Amino acid sequence: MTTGKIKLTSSEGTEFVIDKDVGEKSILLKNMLEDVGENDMAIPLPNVTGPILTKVIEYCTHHRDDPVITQDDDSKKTSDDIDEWDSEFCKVDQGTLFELILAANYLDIKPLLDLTCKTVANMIKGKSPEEIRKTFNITNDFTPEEEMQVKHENEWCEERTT
Amino acid sequence: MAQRLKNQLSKDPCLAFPPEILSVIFKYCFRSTLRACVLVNKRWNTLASISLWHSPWSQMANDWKLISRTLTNEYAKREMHPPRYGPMIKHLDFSDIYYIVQDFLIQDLAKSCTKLQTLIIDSPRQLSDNGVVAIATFCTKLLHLELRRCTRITDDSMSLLVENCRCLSVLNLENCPRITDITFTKLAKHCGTRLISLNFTNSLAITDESLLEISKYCYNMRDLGLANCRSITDVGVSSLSSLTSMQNLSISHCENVTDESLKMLGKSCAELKCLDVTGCRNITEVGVKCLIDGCKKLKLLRISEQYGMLSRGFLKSIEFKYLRVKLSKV
Repeated sequence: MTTGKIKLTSSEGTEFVIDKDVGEKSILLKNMLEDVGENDMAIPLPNVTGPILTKVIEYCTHHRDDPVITQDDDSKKTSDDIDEWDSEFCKVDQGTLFELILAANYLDIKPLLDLTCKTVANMIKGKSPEEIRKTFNITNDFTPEEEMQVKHENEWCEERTT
Repeated sequence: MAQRLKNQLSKDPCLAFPPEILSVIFKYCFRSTLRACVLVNKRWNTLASISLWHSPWSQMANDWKLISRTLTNEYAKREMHPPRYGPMIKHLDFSDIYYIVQDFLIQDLAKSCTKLQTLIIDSPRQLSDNGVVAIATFCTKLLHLELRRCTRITDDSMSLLVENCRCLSVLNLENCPRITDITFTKLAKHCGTRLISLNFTNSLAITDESLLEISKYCYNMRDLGLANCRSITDVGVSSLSSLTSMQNLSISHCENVTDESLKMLGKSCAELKCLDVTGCRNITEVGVKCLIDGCKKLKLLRISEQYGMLSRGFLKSIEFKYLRVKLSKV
């Protein structure tokens, strides 16, 4: 019986019915489905809330036809190459963004994890340490001496242009 | 419960996420950004330093002095404090900054970089066996090593290195004229099945002896670059047919190679995708036919049209849907 649909339950018990290929964007779900085979049982996702699961499904549905990238290329990593739909998708409050990151990590959806992590990288980009502290509400626990030393030890770092 | 979870999640990424997620975030940050991150607070410092020190790079000699001073200081104090930065360094690429590379710098870095995985050096300003011995002694976790155009290094240091660094899977010693069969026969024995890519282009001292050892031990070899190793013959190249995972092979300008080699490769290297036989003047249509009959996955064949042995018409005729034949001028 190939139904082509799978059932998921969010942390508060809400049931979601989605297309199998959309669900398989999650490596966690893909492996689970391979292990248990097709059946009507809902898969419980106790770490993901309903609103976040809705967002995740929205992402996976939009990207359902994307090719699967198996080997990631470490040579060029920038946070600038985000397409329009993705960047609209990430315009959420910080709490939601952080929960999306945790959900993408838990469900093992690498492109979504990369996208959301890039978005956080862009929140840090070009900021001074003090501005970073302000953005994320962080207290500085360095003594002035420690701060000087860390500054000195890392003075070498230069952008690699090639 | 959902609401509670949301409230518990910290606004600070370094508290909200486990290190594996933070490493993804920091991977997308430029060094200038990371330099600000290490100054935010102690927790940020610990986590961002891992990314910042993963692959130090600068084109300024003074910056390297600073790096090596920091590493040497922590090396000297290691009885009292465990070293911080040294073990974080996984990747050093000097290929575009040849003028930085000198024995004393490599010796200083090697001592501290005990977890180094990748080291790339090309045309160093000055690198002798002394530098390579330091690498062999301390950087025993190396997976990927390229010492290109290091004209002064010899078997003395390299054979120690291949004995110590048994995790090596990629080794490039192109244009190192003093490296001989001594290094490669040891390499084959010690690194054996881990090796997947080996390049010794322009090693005139390499003979069939190296190839026989490699074909005996290195079953997982995928890329092998033997261009211009003019001493090798059919005996060595034919033996490579035992390496059935081979995908890319260059034997260009190995003039002793004949159709015998191509027949053997065609018989068993079914995975072969690219073959370069440019300038192999003893190859004829017979050998090429055997090769393409056997190697169905062959996508690129580099060959010279030469001395009437291979006609243009023949080369056109073997160029079917997938195979691209690239002609080189003799």
